[in-house]
Amino acid sequence: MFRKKRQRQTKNYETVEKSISDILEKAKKSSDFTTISPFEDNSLQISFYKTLIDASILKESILPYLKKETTAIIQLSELKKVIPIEGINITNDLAVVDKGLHDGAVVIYFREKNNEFALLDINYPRLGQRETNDTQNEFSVIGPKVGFIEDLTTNLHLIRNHLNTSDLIFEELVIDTRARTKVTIAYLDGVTNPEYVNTAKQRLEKLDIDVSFDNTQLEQLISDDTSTPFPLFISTERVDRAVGSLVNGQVVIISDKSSYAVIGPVNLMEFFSNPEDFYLPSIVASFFKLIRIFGMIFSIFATSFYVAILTFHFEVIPKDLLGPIIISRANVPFPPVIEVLFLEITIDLLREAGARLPAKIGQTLGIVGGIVIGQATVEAALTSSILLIIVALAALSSFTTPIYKMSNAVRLLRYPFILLAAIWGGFGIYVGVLFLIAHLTRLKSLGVPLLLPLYPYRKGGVMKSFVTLNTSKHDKRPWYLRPLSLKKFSPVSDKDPKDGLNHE
Amino acid sequence: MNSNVKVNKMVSPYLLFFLIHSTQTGVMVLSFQSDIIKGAGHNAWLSIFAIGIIMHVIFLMLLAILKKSSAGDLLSFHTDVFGKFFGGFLNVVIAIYFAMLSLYVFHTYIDILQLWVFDGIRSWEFSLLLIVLVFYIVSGGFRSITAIAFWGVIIPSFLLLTLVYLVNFAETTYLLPLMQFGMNDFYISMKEAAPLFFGFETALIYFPFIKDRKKATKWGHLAIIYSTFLYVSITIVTFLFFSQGKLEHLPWPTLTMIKIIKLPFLERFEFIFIFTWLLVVMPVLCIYLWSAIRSIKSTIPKVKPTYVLIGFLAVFYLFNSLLFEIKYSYLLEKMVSYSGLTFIFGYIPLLFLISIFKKKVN
Repeated sequence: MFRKKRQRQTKNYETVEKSISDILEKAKKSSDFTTISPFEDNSLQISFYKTLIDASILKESILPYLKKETTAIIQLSELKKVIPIEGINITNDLAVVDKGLHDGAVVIYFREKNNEFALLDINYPRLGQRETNDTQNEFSVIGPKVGFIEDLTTNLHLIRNHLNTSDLIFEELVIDTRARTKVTIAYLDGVTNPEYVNTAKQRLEKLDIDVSFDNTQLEQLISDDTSTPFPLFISTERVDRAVGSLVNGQVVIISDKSSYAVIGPVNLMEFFSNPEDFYLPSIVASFFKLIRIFGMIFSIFATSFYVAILTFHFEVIPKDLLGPIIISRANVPFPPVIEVLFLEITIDLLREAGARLPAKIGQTLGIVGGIVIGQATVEAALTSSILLIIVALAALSSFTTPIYKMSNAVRLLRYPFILLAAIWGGFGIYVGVLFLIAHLTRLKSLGVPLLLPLYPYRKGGVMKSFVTLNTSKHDKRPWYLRPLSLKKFSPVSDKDPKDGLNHE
Repeated sequence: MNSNVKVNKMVSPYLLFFLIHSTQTGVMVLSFQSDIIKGAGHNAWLSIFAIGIIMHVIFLMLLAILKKSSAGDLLSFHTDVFGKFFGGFLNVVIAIYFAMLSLYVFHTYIDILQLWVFDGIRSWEFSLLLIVLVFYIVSGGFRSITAIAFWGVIIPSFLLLTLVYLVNFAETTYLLPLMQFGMNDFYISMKEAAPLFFGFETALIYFPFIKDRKKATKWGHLAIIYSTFLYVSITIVTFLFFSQGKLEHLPWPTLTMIKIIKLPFLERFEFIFIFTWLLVVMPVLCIYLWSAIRSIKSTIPKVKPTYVLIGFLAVFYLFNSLLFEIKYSYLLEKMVSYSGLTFIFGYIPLLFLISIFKKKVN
């Protein structure tokens, strides 16, 4: 909303240098900025940030060749003949030199002549970065386990390598005013609706932040509605998921220094599917997807119904079931809502502690949390054992949601429902449901309604939202995403002879 | 029939089905059976059938009126025909009528909640929660309301399964003999059954918000057919379930009927039924209220619709907190019934006659 109102200003948070010598003077304040004059008989100087360049290239491919031809170099343009590196850029543009230095180039120039500078790009962006990512946060048993890492070039390589077509377009933008992070919008030309690409590009271009730490931060900034717990884009670290959505006609946003790709526009039910669904037989995959959807619903409503029923509507419980509940709650001194909140917050504390602790300590925490606290609270009659089961099941089912951001939203949602149930009983829960529906129908992802194939109803989408069809049935892109071409592939019907080898 | 509604605020034609059907099903469905037997007794379901057919005629009249108006809604028709001042006055009267129907639904639902589920929670507490919800939905605009209407039809349809459960207890002799009563008895039943179909008159206000209106009329008729079918089947199941003598004394026959359902993990199904009924009631409440607000907004353009909404909700809240006695409920019900009958069977045909002689405005 405020995005529209804000005026675009050409702000620059950095101090402005007037000349290139200013830039070099400024850079010299940093201890990692080095200027060397390798030759005594030549005033040639080499400046670079030693933290950004590949030192071995400098030593093996630049300095020896320079040394050979020391005396011959009078003009900088001669460097192109001497040094076996492509991309030597000779310029006197202040901005280019500044940017080049920070992108990991070495600047070669003569001490006396300050009007020409040669930029040799020998950057080493993967310095200090991990080699691979084996999709630990979105794990699947079957399927490729290649994930994105925090380097843009590698991520783009992973996508391009998987989807080797000239239709795949990468559009690069530089968004931050200070850190100048590179962001790439990937889409399939001739498939993705250009409107989505334009919306994404326009929103990214209008951004005005200093440093972006992760793609998910950009996602928040470009999302259609900022005051919602629901994610409006899928952020994934799986390459196959990103490629799959590109093929389906969605836009993928990848940014430097982030191991998450952001996919948009998405609809709600996509958050509950996993790439693995498409590698499994359709019936099995559909069962798993339905389990996940059930898990989401159970996780939101289980404890709030417990509160509502035990506070207001105990008549609802059949007589035979009422007995065990009364026995288990007989010694509990609190009203149901306190009891539930106590356990829910405990579970969330455990989750948060487990997420923050080092992995090895985390394992012990599970034992402490699960067994000791659970058992002890029941024995101390702080909660009923039936509730313990419900809360544990609800927590378990909230973790079945494949996308982490969605599973967080599901976890958060149960608290308002518990409070509504405590004050207004079942009526409160239903009012909450209506609030939820009204909220969800307002949400949009890159201008596309989040609930799309369900509401507004689109033919052929409802079935696919709940079950996963055979791969041969996925031959068309979802038409409600308005792709430019609908057909993905045409499966050949099998031409096997009717009689098998063992036919009798 | 050119409207000034922007395309991005319009909804698809098929949604007219949900809009019309969801405004027709409201709180009346829970209680109408004991009223309609006053005339034609166990044959009263035929009256519902007949009134359903009449509703199609009224709906056609309504479409004819809309066709002759300059902006495609009743509000512009009023100002076209009666001039700016008197037309504006009529618009405000219409707004009050819509707001009253909305209030009636609001009031009765809370009444049901207190009667059937909670006796400990006071009505102002319910009102407070409900007006916050209504505010959130209505302030989202027409598309938001349409979404609620859509889900308000889809989600509660699982309740229809209860009818199948109830058929197990059917006693077929209760429906016999066919055609026992005279025309006058059927007429009385029809009059009692007519309020069941109230709600589609709001189409007079929101019709410009529908894309491709020619296609949409089909969906409108379909909605009325579906409502008729639904009411007739509920009535027949009720008649099969209760004897006439018993039915006379039941204020909420549908709910009493539902009470018999027991599930292994759920003893009193009517609780779930009543709560889920909130989803049925909410579209009625919101669409009426939205229509009232739109009527006022187009008459007095200077007033901000949000303030009108807050004003109406404040009235609703005060009415429900202060005047929560049976005599007010009774008064409200009578007012709604009379004004609704007058509006649908008197005012719409009158406007239709006017529209026949009126020249088309471009």
